[in-house]
Amino acid sequence: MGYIEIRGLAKRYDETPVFESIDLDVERDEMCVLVGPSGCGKTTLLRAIAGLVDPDDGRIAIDGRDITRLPPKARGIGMVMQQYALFPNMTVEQNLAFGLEQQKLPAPEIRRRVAAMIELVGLQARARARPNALSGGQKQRVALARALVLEPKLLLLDEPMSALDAQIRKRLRDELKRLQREIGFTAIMVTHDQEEALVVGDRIAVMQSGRLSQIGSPHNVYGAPASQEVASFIGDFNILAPAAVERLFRHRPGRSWAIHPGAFEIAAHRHLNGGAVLSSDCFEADATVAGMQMLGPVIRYHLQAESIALKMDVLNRPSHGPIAPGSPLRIRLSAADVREI
Amino acid sequence: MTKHGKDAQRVVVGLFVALQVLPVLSVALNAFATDWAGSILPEGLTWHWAGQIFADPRFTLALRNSLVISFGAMLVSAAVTIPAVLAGHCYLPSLDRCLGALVILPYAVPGIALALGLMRIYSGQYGVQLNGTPWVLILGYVPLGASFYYLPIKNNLRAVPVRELIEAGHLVGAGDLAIMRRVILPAVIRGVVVGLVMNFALAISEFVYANLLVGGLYPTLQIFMNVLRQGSGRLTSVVVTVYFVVVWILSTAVVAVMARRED
Repeated sequence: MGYIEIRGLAKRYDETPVFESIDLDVERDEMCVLVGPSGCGKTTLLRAIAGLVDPDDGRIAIDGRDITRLPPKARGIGMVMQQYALFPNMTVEQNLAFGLEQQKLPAPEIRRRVAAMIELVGLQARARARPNALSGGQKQRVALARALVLEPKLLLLDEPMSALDAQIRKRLRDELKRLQREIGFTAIMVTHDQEEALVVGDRIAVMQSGRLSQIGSPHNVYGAPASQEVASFIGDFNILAPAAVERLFRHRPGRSWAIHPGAFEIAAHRHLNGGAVLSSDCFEADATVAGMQMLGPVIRYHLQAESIALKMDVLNRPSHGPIAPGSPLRIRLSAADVREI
Repeated sequence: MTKHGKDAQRVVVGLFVALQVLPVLSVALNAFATDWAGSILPEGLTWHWAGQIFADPRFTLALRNSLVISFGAMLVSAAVTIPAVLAGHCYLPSLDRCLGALVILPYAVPGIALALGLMRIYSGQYGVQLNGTPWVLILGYVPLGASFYYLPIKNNLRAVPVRELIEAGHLVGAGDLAIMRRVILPAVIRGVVVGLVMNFALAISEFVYANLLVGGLYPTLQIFMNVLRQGSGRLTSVVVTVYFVVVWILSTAVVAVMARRED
């Protein structure tokens, strides 16, 4: 039983399920990331936890207390929304103080907590600025500070970095982890960005078509996807049906293979023609480079082998030029890198 | 932008300003003119007409009555309309469409018909006897003033992510009233100010309702001006200039308060 406990949560709109049978536990001070493609129901699930959407079935509890039917303001939950929803007429300080004023705290206590939080997110110089004078990154930090200053039992983050450019996203997700380490909070974050989920999450819950497909550590979900859908979504795996595996490697497995694009190696010598099982733990096949994409630290090659499309990631080393499209290759795969699903 | 293009823009803006300002300016000049006939500008200026009007106790009474009616109508209209517009937009979108149609209704019905309807409602037949009192005029101006609040406030509301702000307010522990007062209302304050000023300007210059509903029982500036219509046009011009000055002072005060708030 977790600090946050969700059991059998379901929501339908006009008989169409948005999400169903959601069971999720989040431990205290843990950052759980809900990751899934757009439209899979993850934002609605987050809004149901916040109390902004009424679930049709199920139960939500925080620290043993059932909050399923409580109004949002009575749940003790903070939320950072996708577009931040900062109060436009208030300064940064006033945005942070507004929630504390609703708790009828003494003015000196409000000032102290607001100042401490503004310092924590590094916005001292912008404390008297209104939201329209802030950059996207600053707005995101204000929204985070506004939620955290209330010391919520649970923090919900709804794609908090989706409106930011790539460079600021990277910086802010590091900052989010730093804040979590410094002050310790329990959070559920929604994102459709696999990389962001892996970097930020202590635990990852993959959501697809309104259901949680897999819950586990980033290492576990990335390295051992539980289904073909998770493998395709979270790691961009190559999914090969048994017949395709047989055509490529002359080996007929019982189930489909999920192969990470980084698992392929380029064999040093083309000493065999056609696919082959070299040993019980190594497979090789001939392929042709159909195209390439520069992804920064790695180069992704799109290969054709026995009319089967494969993705292969190779470390982008400055001393090695890219392999030209049309070039023949021999690829090698270790059996240890194959996941049968 | 070419010089020719800039000149054309200046002409267009200049024409607009002239059309707006010239009538007011000419009325003000007429109020202080010694004689103005057969020339572009008055032959001389004098305080005579203004002095005559300000010394008339009927004018002082009419000005006081007009201010009571105008501020009263402005406050009652604002108190009734603004919460209705906010509630419709934020919580009752299906009723909001009806509000949009309702606010233009008073302008689709002839003024005389509405005035007769108001006289009937407030004649005591339905338990409320207000005819002949300033209240009938104040309440009569509420439907007329509603569109002045509805349209600019709705425009402001459309530019604000209202649902997200209300949800964000709930999540930091605020109730609906606090969110409306502290977040939503300040976000539409420009629309409110436009409504207040236009409502005041309507109430201080309206004649048909004032004449039919209260007439001589509670004489306003418009009623007083009607009495003056047989006399000198200079005196009428002084009264119109007073309107203008009162509305201008109110608008300037509101703009100054707004500017200080935004600082």
